[in-house]
Amino acid sequence: MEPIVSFSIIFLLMVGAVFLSSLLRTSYVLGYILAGFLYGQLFHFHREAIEFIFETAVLLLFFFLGLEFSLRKLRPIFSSIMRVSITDFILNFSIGFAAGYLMTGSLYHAILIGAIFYPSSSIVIVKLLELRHRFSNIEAPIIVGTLIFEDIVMILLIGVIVAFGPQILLKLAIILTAIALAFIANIKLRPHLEKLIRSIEGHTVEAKTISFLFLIFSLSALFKKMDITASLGAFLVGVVFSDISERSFEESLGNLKDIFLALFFFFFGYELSHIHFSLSVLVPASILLLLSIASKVSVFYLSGLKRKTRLRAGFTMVPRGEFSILLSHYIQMEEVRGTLLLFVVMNIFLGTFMADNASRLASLLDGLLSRLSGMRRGTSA
Amino acid sequence: MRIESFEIPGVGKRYEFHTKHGDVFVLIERLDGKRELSILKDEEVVATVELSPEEANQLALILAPSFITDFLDKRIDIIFRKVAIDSFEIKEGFFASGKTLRELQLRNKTGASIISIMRNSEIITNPSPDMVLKPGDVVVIIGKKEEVEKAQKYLAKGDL
Repeated sequence: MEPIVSFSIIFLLMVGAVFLSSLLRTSYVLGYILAGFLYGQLFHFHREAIEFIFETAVLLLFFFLGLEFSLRKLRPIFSSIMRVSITDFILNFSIGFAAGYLMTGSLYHAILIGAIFYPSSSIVIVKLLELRHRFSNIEAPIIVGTLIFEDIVMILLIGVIVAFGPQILLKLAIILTAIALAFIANIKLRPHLEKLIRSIEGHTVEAKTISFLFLIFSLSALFKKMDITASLGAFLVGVVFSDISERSFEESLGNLKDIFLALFFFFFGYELSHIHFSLSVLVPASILLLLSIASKVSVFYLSGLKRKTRLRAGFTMVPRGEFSILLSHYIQMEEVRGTLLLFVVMNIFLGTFMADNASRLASLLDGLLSRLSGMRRGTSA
Repeated sequence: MRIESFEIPGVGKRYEFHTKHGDVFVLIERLDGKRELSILKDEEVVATVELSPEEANQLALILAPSFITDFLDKRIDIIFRKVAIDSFEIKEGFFASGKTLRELQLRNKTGASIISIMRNSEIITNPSPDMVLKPGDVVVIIGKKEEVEKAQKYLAKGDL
């Protein structure tokens, strides 16, 4: 099929997905995955084009993650979220790591599956909090702060996973040096960078958009040539320019990122339609799913919030997403890959439902726990 | 009153207010200018109000220190009949972006004046002529209605 015809069908399905999601007042991500799955059942799409879309979406996502890395903004949040964020990492990464080691017996796959299991989806959760006007909730700063913390850890974990091999120490040294240099450039060169952006903006908005696309793609290509993850290049461009004219980046590149991320989820659905899931992966995937719910719901135990609020925050953090999808492509064992893909897709759907209905679920569970403790007190009396 | 604030990437800024009497309310300042005001009780949101940028400005005027409201009360007729006060956001690529107030010569060219500038939630009153306007700044302009409209056009496009 001609690419132009394919894209007209793809965008038609995506429009349907957006309308349906808006009608149900839920995250668009689910609609995009379903639309991609439907498309995959009916048509084929060029492999190379899918890879380009995936890679570009990831680069733009990492560029925006880099932009969030403002030390000034992060400092006040970090003191209040440290306990929750560290619990989140220890609990979720360890469970994923242990499950990965049990399934594969390989250290590489254990780290990889730990990294798939650990991070919640910022894209799904932030959108839901916005749709449901839940940024006013008392737990919102801790949720958002923890999501940012997860992003930081994921940058390092992806660096480790991609660098895994004979030259791992050298590659990690390059990654850490590059991150440090980007932070130093952000602090020391800020007035010059502001001046540079103003002078580019003096021409047209397009000049700025294209200049930054050039920077993102060229640094990413350089890192890819060095056999280090390309996304690190995009991330570092974001770090260098973080805290400088954030709103204008949102205006000039935000829409492009949103479109590519929508296509990213669409083609994840498309890929799922071409995978034959055997019954044997259903049990391990379901066990992982239950563990992933239990571990995220427990994360806020040390937050100092009331039990009902802790549970509401925990249910909100259940859905995994972009990082889990991205990393599941690195699994080399077919059966394990099937298990993890099924786990990720079940988690995205069930997790989004849970995040969306977190208040109701928290009330139910809180009531149940109160009744249980009341019964226990009654029995002991 | 204790105020805690933090930035939500891609969304805006969240302020949490704890009053002396133990009441808690939250203000979400979105990047698109909308405001969301919520009252919390026992860690639960009990009421939320969404305000457009204009409504937020009106509320801010009412909540402003008494000397401003007294002034407005006394001069209400003049304000509404003759004088206009309006806010205006400087965006990328606007004529005024990157220029000092001295370079702009706004009062000479339009008759209206900039009385304050809001930058990153900080309010700068009586800005100095050497102050450079940046994208994202919100300027408060005072003048006759037609002068304020002229000033907005001038700041955006450079022509009158």
